[in-house]
Amino acid sequence: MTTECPPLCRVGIAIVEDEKDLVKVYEKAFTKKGIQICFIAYDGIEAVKKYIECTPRPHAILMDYRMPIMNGIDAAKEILKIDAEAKIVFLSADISVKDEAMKAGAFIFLKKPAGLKDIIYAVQKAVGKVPAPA
Amino acid sequence: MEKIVSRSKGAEPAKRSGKKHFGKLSECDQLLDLAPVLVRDPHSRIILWTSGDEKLYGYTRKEAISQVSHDLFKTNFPISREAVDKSLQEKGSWQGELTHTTKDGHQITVASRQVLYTEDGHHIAILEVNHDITELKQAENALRESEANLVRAQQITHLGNWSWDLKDDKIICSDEFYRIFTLDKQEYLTFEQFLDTLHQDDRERVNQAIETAIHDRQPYSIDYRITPSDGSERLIHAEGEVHYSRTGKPQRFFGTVQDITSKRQADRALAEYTTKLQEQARIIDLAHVMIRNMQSQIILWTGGDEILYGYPKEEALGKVTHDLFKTIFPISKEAVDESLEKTGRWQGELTHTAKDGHKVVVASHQVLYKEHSKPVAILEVNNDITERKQAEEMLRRQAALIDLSPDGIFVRQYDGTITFWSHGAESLYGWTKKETVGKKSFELLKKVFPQPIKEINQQLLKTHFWSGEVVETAKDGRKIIVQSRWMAELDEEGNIREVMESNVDVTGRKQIENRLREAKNQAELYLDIMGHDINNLNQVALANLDLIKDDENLTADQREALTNSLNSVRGSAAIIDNVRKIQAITHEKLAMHREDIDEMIQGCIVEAPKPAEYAVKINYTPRKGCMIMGTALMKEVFCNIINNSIKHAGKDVTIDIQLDETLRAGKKFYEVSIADSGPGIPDELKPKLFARFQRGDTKAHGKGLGLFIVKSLVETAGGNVTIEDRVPGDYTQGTRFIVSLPASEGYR
Repeated sequence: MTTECPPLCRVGIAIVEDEKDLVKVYEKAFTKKGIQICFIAYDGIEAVKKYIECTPRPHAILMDYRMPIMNGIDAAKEILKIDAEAKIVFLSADISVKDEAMKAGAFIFLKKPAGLKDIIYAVQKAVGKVPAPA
Repeated sequence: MEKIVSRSKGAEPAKRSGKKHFGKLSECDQLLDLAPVLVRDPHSRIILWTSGDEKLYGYTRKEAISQVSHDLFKTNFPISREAVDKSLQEKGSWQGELTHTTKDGHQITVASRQVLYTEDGHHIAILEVNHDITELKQAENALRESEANLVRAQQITHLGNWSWDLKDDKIICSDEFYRIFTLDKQEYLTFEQFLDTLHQDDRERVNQAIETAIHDRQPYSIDYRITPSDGSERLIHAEGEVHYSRTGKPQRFFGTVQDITSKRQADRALAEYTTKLQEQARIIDLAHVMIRNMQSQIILWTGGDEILYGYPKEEALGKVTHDLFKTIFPISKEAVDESLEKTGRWQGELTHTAKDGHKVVVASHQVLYKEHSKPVAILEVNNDITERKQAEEMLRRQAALIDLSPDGIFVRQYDGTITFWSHGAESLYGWTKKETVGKKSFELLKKVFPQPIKEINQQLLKTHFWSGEVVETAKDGRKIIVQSRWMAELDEEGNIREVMESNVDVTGRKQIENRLREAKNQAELYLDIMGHDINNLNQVALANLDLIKDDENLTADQREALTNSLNSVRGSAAIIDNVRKIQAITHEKLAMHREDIDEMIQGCIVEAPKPAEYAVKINYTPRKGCMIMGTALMKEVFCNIINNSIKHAGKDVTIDIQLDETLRAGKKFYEVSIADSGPGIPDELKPKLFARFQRGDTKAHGKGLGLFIVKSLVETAGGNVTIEDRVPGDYTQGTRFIVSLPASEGYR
């Protein structure tokens, strides 16, 4: 079974977060900004699995760190093994893992709580679609 | 000339014949009369007696003629008389040594030659020529005795002699020579054979000495070793001299050898004994020995006394001891004298005063000497024990101090046997001194060590010290944890003799530590919950508020409420951030890195809040290469101060940042001055700003931990932070923070 992904003409991202309320608000925010949600995963294992299955692959992955079964850094490492070009935007309350995450190959690390503006900006930067300054 | 033939009765034919023959003889030669010649008839009766005989035996012719010769001379024959006669009859002659007795009783030895005369087949006379060889025999005996004596003397003195015929290379050696060299006696030795007897290492030297003696006419005197066949090694002293021919050619080398092994050993022993005697004499002179007469006047004063008391002999002799030393007796002087008188001795400790006035404590042993039962003198041996007494006093004081200590101090032998038990130990464990001394500490206290006792003992042997936490059991069965410090005393062979243990009860402290550890773990758990779970919730709130904020239909009141909610969420996150930073600074050993101040300041300027309500102007001239050592949180120092200046301004504000280099006590420091034109801080608040959980009088969100974090971070980096009015004396003109940090090259 493959995950249905939106067409490439639009920016697509994946959300990996075990906090369902957060997933909801991210979905709303990204959708509002015209960013497609490729898939949502609630733990690291699920994220890796869905990343493998997803065609086409998301332009960026918004990744939490502390999740059940497999943490965000391990999931990021696995995904980067599959696709070294994957852009992973870490968003975690565990500032202590920032260095480890960056070392693992994260594109950027944002500390929770971060404003939506900052999150969207980081994702756009990761996919190379940073809007021109107003 | 008298007739030398006498007539005798009987044996007529022989008599006649002998008379006829020897009558002729007597007429022959006058000189014959002087010779010791006698003629006897076949019955041994003397028929001719010469003047020579008279002189030899003392008998006149009248006394000798007709006497039976062997009766007259009491002849001792070397063989039987019959054998002599038989020889005369068969061979016609006999010769041998006879012992005769002269008229005056002397025994003489004669070399007797006897010839039998016959006529017409009849034995008619026997001619005896008896040469006195008494002196020769005596000389021979003397020589024999002398030789025997020489042999004995050589044996006694271990002195052998040798004579070396240089031409034929024959060394004739005495018996003693062979004995010394443990060689079988032989006719002679060759030089090669002689050299073979020598110790291998001495051969060349001996050979050289002999060469020198022969060719340079130098005296030959040398010691060398021989290695006899019995495996021993003996030391020989040899002397000799060379005899030369008239033409100067060396002919014979004479010499002696003497076994000086024992002598050398004896010499060595004697030298050692002499040294010991000298040493003893020196020690006696150094000893604090004195003799006083019965009036207590000093009559013997040694070098040791001089050293001890400082008085030279001339000053001490004749002085009364107790006056000179200002003696302090442990009992009365009379009691000391009485003891000496009754028992002949006294011993005890005396305190004397030396010449320079210092007190000397001596252990005095006094012995009374008597002559013909009358006391004549007292010998005193006074050993200086001043230092020992001082040490004892110090030990006594130390023991008293140890007893004062609340720590459980005890001394035990290596096997655990307790020899000292302090009052502190009594309090700690509950056992009294009486109950513990002699007991084994390990069993008594049921010690449980943090490591094997073998390892502890190894450390004690190596460093004489061990420290660790030990679980022990007190008398009432309580388990106690002690911080135990052991100090070992080793004996001369490096083995542990005694161990002093000082034990401090840390049971309570350990319980508190455990509680603290639990509390810390709990705090970390709470912090983790705050840091993660609450911030996750904050994230939900913040994201939702952000979404609502974009709604253009919001009223002014709704927007204000939304802004306040957003600020609250951010404030909540900031509190969590600060608490985590404090936790990191105070409880985690953060690694120190080289950090560039300029980069940090520029980063803070970029990230500085930009309030919509008022303008912020930051003036800063970058300065590269200002490196310090700090933790990863160091940037917080500058960001916190800058952000505070902005947040607390409440109106347009200008912030001037200046980075300078300065020297403090010869060390390079960087000084960052951050001055704002904000509302300023009153003097009474300034000292409280850096205190933990202290809030200043601000209008901003109440977090209150920022400056405490600043101070902690700066101090961790070895610097300091101060606050002052931007315009001295007028706090309303703004505030200046000055952060001083040591340059990384001088950082320790």
